[in-house]
Amino acid sequence: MSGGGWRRRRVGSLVVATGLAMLGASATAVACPVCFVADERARQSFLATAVGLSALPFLLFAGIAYWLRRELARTAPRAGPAADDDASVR
Amino acid sequence: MRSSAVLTAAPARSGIARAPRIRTAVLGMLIFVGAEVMFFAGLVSAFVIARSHALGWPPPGQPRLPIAATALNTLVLLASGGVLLSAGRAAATAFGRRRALRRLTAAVTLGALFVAIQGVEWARLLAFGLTMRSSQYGSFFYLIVGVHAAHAVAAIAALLHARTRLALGTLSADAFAAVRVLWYFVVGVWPALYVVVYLA
Repeated sequence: MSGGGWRRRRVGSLVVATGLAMLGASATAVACPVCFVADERARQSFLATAVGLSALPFLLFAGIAYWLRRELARTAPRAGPAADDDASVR
Repeated sequence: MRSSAVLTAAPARSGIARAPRIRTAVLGMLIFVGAEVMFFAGLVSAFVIARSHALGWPPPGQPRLPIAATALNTLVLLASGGVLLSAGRAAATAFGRRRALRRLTAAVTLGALFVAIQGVEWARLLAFGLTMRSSQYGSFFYLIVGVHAAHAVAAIAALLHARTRLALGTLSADAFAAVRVLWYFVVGVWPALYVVVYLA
């Protein structure tokens, strides 16, 4: 191995070790309402609503994507007339 | 012939427009409903956090909500959704227009009955002193349930419009599906609101 490569690895290891040490030394942010509420019930409510509101958009997008996929499969070109050609609504 | 709007509207190389693949009216309604779901989720989360900070819920001196009557009313709304589902199925069959028309009328009637019963309950709660300004409890109750009622009234108006067009034979399958999606949203969101506002 060349001297330059060894040096780069050493610097890289030093950066990773420093990063890990900084993570270990960090304190929880006091601004976080979920972490610092005196009432346990309020903390649980903050946590539940944060999780719910964060997950909901993903669920909505997934739902619409699922519907689009199903719709494209339903309307895929097929031999013969469409299923609702003689339906009551146009 | 299908009357769906064309999502892949770009003409093919042959110069012939592609056949419609996606019902854009339904897609648009689904996106709108998604935004409304987020709106209700915001209201509910604000309500849950406000309630968690309160010392007593409902606050002292405030009337209790009519749990049993509203449970029955919830069944009325759910029945309306079920009837509309069968109306959609009837409309998709040949010669099913009259059947679909009858079921659509029944769905609208049940929906209107739900709103009317809610109105009666509101009048009683107001008489017992629960107003928008009486407490946080009252503010949240009228805001959340009121917004839902406003959606229900708008969706009933849309259903009535669809009914008129179905009777005239000018209702497109896409428009009917989009209106049904709106009503299913109104029906589907209510049990969640009932559990959070009335029961929890």
